Amino acid sequence: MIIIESTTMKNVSKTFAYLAIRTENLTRRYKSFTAVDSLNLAVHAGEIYGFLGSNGAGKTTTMKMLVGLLQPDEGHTWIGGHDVWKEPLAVKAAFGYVADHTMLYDRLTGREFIDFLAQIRGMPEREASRRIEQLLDVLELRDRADTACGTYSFGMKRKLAIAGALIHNPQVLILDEPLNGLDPLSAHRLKDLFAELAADDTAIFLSTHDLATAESICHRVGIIHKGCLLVEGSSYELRQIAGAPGLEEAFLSLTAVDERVPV
Amino acid sequence: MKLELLILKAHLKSAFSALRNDSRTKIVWFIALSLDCGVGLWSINQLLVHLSQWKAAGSAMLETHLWLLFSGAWIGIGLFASLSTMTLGFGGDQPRLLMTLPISPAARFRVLYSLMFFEGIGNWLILEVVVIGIPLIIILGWQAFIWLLLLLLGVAFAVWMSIVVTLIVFHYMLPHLKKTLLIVLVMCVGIGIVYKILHMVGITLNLSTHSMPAPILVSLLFIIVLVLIVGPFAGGAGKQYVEAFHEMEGRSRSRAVINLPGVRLLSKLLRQNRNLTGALLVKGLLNQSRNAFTWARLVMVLICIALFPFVRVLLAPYGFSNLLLVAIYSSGVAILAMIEYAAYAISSEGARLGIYLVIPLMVATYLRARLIVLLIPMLFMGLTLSLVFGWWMGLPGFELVQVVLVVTLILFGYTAFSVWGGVWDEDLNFVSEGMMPVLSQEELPFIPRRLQLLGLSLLLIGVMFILVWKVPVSLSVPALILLDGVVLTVGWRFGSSQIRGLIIRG
Repeated sequence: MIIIESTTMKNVSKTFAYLAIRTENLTRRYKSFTAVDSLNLAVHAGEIYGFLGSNGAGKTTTMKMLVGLLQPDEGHTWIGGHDVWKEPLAVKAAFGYVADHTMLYDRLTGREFIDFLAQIRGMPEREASRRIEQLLDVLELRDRADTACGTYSFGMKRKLAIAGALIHNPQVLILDEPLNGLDPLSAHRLKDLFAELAADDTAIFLSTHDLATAESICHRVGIIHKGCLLVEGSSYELRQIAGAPGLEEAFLSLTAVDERVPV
Repeated sequence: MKLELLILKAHLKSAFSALRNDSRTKIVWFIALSLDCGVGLWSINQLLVHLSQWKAAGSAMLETHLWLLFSGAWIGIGLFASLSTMTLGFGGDQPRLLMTLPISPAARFRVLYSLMFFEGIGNWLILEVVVIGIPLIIILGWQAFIWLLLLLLGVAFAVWMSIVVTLIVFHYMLPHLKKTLLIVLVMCVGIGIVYKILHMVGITLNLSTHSMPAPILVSLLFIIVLVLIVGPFAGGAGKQYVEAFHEMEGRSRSRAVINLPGVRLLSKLLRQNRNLTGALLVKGLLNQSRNAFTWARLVMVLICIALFPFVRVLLAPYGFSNLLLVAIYSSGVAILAMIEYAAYAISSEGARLGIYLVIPLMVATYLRARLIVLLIPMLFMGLTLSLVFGWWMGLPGFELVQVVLVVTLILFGYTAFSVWGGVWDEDLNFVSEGMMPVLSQEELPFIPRRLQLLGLSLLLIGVMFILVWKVPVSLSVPALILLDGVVLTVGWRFGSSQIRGLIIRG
């Protein structure tokens, strides 16, 4: 793996505070198949980290291990300085998570669903209401806030899931393909929101297949391939390593070294 | 036919592969088989006794009762086939995939019809044939085979009827539910009036005075009809299926949220409780108040309450004391109202269980909250009914206290068993989207493992009722406390370890 100490962030030059996410030799096997192999990651507060990889590379498995939905076979993970498996309550209070699929209750309205999430997190009613109204505006869900979630389009469901992840102002956001299914305007607004959150010291760890997005909003990008972190650094640095003009070419060049198939 | 066989082969291959490789499926099959054997043996014994009595009473009596028995069997299979039509024909990705392939309507219908026997009613069909077939052969000898042929052909016809009726309901009735309900109501009233008039003029239907048709003739008729429905008429049913499918897929998504009077106020009150239990209560209240199944349950409870005086008269010869009757009936009604839901209160979450696993709460808190949320309506219903029935029957205060205690213990044990046991069927990777998949995942217990759990919970209810019935209250209460203790301890450990297992397995 090639690790570059990030000195040149493409979009923002800022000094990061403490480590928000750290993994050490994180490994997960399914019988003889190793989905994630000795993964070492470090994401700082205020940083947007893009996690790239082909289908089945191990992105979702890694994210599930970060949020405590999947137990690693080896290695450790810390979020906000707390060990995910030793201090689960402190860790879970610190992050917001959006899964790769929507997890909603079809008969609840959008507003009721976010309120439900606020209630299970024990947020005071007044604070929850204020935050819900704020999120409905930011994510442009107000018009449909009082209709059943089951009637939402895929993109709206994603936005609602993001609203749910943001309800408690988490220090860390873990987002599995958050822009998937969003229209260009919504995606653009969401990218702005991520930048604002990062400016407020929220660490954002997101996976995406959209390399243009990764290039435009991520301070650093890590490419996972067959469970191993191949390379990480700013998109500028990845382009330099691969000798490619864009992140897309860099990604293709770095991940396809051993998989060239004659056409 | 080649295409139909190809699709069937793929389905069977997938089912066998699941049976071979998935240990959970193996356990399900093992339990299903054990339950089948248990139920089968008991039913065979019962039927043997009855068949002998019918035979001794003469051939007319035997034939009448066999026809009644077969009609019951066909209706039962028909109901299961109707439910299976929903899951096999409309739920999940497989029907959608098949709908995108260039398959003729006739072939489409034949595939759905054949699948019904393998994946829909297979288990029930085998059970039915064994349970009815063995006593028939023992009592009737070679003649039994004629009746068995009739039974099987009747099943094949009942399955076809159920599919077609379900398709008609989906295509024509569901989109116009209000009109349909009105028509059904008018028809019921009309039939009632006609029946009353016939009764008044002295025309009555007495089965025993009519000779039953010969089974061989009816079998021949069934064969002709079946050849027609899977042959030349399959295209018509297939077109009906395609249209019903498109009707269901194209249903308006602009579902308005219905807020019944009082629900908003109650949910506002429950919202004050800012914790998991409070949140689950609010969610449950809103969710269930917008669920047609809940209203069906409520209607059922009202019917059961209205039937209490009749049940009381019916059970009088069996020596049930008033205390016993009130305790068993009240807890029975409360259980009946929740029985098809309790067993999958947790597993209906599927991937959504992740919502609860990523919040800062322990698994134990989640399990406890789930139990409380289901226990509250169960106890509310059970205890209210026991107090009302107890007051109506004039039970003295001490007996009323005993009833309350017994009902609480029965409902507590049953709820803990069903709710925590339901984790068995939970799959963190299962995502259901779309009306029919959500319906089959969240509203119906017709998944093998859920049915097994339902069977086991019925067994537990049976044990509890027998304890209350056969043992004096002074002994049955401590026995119920002991049983609840065992259920709580085992259920708690099982539920916790299952959820931990889900996180470990991934």
